[in-house]
Amino acid sequence: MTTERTIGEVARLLTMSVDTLRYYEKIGLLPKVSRAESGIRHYRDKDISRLKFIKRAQQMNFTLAEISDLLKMREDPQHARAEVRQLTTNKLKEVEVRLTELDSLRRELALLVNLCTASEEGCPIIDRIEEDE
Amino acid sequence: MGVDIEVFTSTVCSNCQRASRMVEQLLKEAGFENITWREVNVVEEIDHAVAFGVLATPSIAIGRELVFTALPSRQQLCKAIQHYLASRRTNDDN
Repeated sequence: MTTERTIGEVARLLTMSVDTLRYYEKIGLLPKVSRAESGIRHYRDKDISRLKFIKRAQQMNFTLAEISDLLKMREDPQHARAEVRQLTTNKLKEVEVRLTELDSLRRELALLVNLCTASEEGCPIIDRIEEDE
Repeated sequence: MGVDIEVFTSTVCSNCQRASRMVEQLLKEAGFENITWREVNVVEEIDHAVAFGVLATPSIAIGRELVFTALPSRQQLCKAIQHYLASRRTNDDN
């Protein structure tokens, strides 16, 4: 079953502003959203999925132009142009590097939290931060 | 060739000194010669500890592999060292 949501509902769901949602549609990042006779936008699941992708890509610091290309690849991976394929490959590598860094950070923080929990006097997290300063 | 056994410790854990002492004594008493070991303070060498996947102290790595994530019994430690020595001999033979 397809769920249809209004722009306000989508804004709340994705914690984006309604202006941003309208802007993405205006610049073509999001295809024209279907509208009721009254003119109210009705976002479908496919639109939400696309917006979630845009949001994730933005959090990875991709530009809107890059995201536009990545969306083309997402829509039709078999027929993507060579440069879009290359961009996507490069971005995949960037994501993998970030993941490795994040994983390392996650493990470091987990270790520090465990040490801090076990500590009766002082906290290694603070010691570590002071060391780095 | 690096150190054979690394005992990951911190100043905040009560079992860390016991773990280091146990390794030191066992190597001496059980005649594990040519086995090197060192104590790693995880706060001072946090990158090294994280690379091993250390999440708590004490943890013990044997042959660059994290084998214990808590204080082992003397028997468990002895068995792990014997296992390591056996695999090292196999590698040397091949």
